[in-house]
Amino acid sequence: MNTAAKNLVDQVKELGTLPTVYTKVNELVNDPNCPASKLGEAISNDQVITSMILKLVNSALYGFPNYIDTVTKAVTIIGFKQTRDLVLASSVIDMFNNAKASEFIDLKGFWMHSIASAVAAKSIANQMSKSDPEAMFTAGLLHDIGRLIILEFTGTIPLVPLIQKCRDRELLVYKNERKVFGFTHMDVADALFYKWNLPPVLKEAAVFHHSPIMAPRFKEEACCIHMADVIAHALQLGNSSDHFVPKIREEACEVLGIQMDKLPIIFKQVKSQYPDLIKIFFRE
Amino acid sequence: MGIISVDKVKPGMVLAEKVMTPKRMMLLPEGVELTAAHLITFQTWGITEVNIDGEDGADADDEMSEEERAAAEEELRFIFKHNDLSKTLAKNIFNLACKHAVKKS
Repeated sequence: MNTAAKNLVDQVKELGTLPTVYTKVNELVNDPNCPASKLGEAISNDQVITSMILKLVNSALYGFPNYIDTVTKAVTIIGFKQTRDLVLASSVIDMFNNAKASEFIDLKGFWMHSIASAVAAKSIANQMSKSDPEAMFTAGLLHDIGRLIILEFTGTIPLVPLIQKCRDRELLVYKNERKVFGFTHMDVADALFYKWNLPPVLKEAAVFHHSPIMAPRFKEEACCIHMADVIAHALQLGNSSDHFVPKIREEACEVLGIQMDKLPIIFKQVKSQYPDLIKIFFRE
Repeated sequence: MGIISVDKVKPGMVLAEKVMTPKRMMLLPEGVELTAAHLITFQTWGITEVNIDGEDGADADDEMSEEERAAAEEELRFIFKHNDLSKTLAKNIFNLACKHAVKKS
């Protein structure tokens, strides 16, 4: 792990721990005897998370015909681990919700890129046999979190000047971070996911999203987030801070086992589901 | 083929792709000619979109003039500048990005 990135994450008080509700839910999900009602009850203690989960399961992302009015019903329908992953996504969004934008930081654009990547990741996972769509949704949402931490919580790391310089000189920001800061936004995500003790699949998917073939255990998931990130850039949804589409890894499709004729379906799904998700996250 | 919303599906249309439930159970195989009963089944299972033979799934509201499309394509070429568009995956993603490009307001 990159020591400078670890020190950076350790210094930010706001990143100390994940909300208690996630920790509790994670414990219950690992208990094979836990009933859905107990998990639902644990989540219901947190009203913000409950409201977010219900909005997500009632969104275009799922398209269930009837309104799901309790978290317990949501747990029964989408599954235990899947609910836990949505709790994580909701917790992190809530944690950063109070973050303030500045004239240099396009926070809304950042989350729009993350949401587009999350929707694309879920759609790609739906086309694959092995990956879990909810885990990929959460990984898509969190894949650039390292960049948000650098922007939001550090006054000393010159990310904003780097973004401006890369735009002017037509360079990719992520390829220049290490040269300028000594670490990348993936290193920050690595340190954060370690600190929060998040599942290794989420960690690898985020940490290796620009170099998915290097992922030691979860290549498919890293390829899924790589493709999702590329699609969000290609559709110009949101603003990741990188003005250009990242270098596309041709091997990703092969690793994912996705034929080219599936790509139009994924693009179409992202375009149709994205507006609904934007409304949920921005409470529009 | 094209993905269309279930409320636009009419009996007689043919599935270009199998239909799966959100829990990834197979509901109908590709090639099936849809009946009114199938449409009710989609509602019951929460299917929102299906892939239909011979339908163009492009969004009608994204229609642009030739000039607008050429301008959008030029902008996309610029943001894809770090990619080799002769490679299969990059080329496919670029073409889809062009197809889905929207008017800049």
